[in-house]
Amino acid sequence: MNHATPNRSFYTAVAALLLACFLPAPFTNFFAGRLGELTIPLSAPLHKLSMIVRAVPERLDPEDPRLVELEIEVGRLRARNAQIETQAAVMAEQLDRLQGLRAIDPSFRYITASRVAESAGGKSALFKVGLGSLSGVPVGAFALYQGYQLVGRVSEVSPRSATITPITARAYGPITALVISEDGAFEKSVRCSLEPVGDGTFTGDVAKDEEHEAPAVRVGQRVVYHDTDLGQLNTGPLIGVIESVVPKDKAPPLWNTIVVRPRFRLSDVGVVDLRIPRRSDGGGN
Amino acid sequence: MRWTVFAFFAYLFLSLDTGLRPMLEIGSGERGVAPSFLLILMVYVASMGPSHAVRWAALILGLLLDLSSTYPTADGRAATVAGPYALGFILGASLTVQLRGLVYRRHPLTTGFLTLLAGACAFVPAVFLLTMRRIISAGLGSESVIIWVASDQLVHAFLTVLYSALIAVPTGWILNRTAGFFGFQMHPRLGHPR
Repeated sequence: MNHATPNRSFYTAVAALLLACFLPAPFTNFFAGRLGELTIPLSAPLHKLSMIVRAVPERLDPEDPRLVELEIEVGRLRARNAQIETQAAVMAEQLDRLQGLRAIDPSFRYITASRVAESAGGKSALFKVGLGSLSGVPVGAFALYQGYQLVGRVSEVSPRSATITPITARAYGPITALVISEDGAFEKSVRCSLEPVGDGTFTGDVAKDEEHEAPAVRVGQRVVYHDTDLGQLNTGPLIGVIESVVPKDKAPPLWNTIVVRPRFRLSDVGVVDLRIPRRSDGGGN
Repeated sequence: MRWTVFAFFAYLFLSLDTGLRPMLEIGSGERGVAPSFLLILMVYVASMGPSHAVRWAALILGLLLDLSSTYPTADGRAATVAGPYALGFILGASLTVQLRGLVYRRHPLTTGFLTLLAGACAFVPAVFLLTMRRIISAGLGSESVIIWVASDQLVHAFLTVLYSALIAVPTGWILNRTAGFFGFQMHPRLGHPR
């Protein structure tokens, strides 16, 4: 074995790296941004390929017992279909409102960005999209999936890429949200604070509405971001749908703990819409 | 060792790390685990290359992993930290250099086995350094302290190393075919570097 003695320049590099471990983030973020842009030409097509491969549905053998389970599930879903159709009219109206809001709201513009890379090390779930400050993306801008589902927030920007912190990551922190009533009336919506659990869901306690009777939240109700920037309409991007409701024993103001699940899987998100304020002062959302 | 070939593979494997994650990830989001191709490349180079070049190669590959890793911070931003993986990779490469005389490197399982050992040796110091950074910056009252739970990250690092070791078997087999491009000179009978 040949064990060459490291030279002085190597030891200097090691000392510099040890020092760099404790350097302020902006210094290293600059280099990370440039490196990310360098790898985009290869990582972006690979990422696209990954999304395509992952999206290929699993083929089941006709004898597979899972197929029987799926057929039972189909029957159950058909039964629910009738119920859903009645709700569809309400949802269509809400969708129109959301789309209309997007069209008429002059304070934001939306640009579509492809997901081009992932954070390679550690446990963070952060990912990169292929548009950055050159396209006017500011830190704090919301990333939306299919135009209405909140995916995350821009947490770092380089000229040609931006890092998104997903809302499902615990690092995102608490989210102020509104549970929309089943008839879609915003005046009956219930305010709550949600915490990302880390498994792709959120949990939170529903606060008492002082002006109304305490409304019972139910499984299936939509939960939206409480977006004060949108003024009176107050229809922030969708966070998810209530998956379970556990009554709390404690007295008001807290009486229900809800679990909310987004309508997307983070691994399926290949493209996001970035919501960018038109205001010159920026500052995100 | 030909550094141009190394640079090409480093670029390729970095792109694999950041691009193929959605396909190879087990679990999703924060709980997702994906293999580290840069770690596999480091182990391969360390098991084949001349010692003096291995150190620099490990430093470069570790630095690439550092710069392609982002961590959320308490102020809602994202931070990149240069150093932890680079230093960890140097330690991992040193271990590989020490062990490579004891194993038959041409065997596909060897890269997997060495990845397991070198990965543990590389990732544990990296987690330690990032934890120290978190503690120090929290102590200084910095707002950009990274959100980092050492125990979670150690488990995640262990799973990453385990997964990387599995992926290293086929990847190592492919890399072994490229030894000529790298310019690694093997002992004709023992399979050891000259």
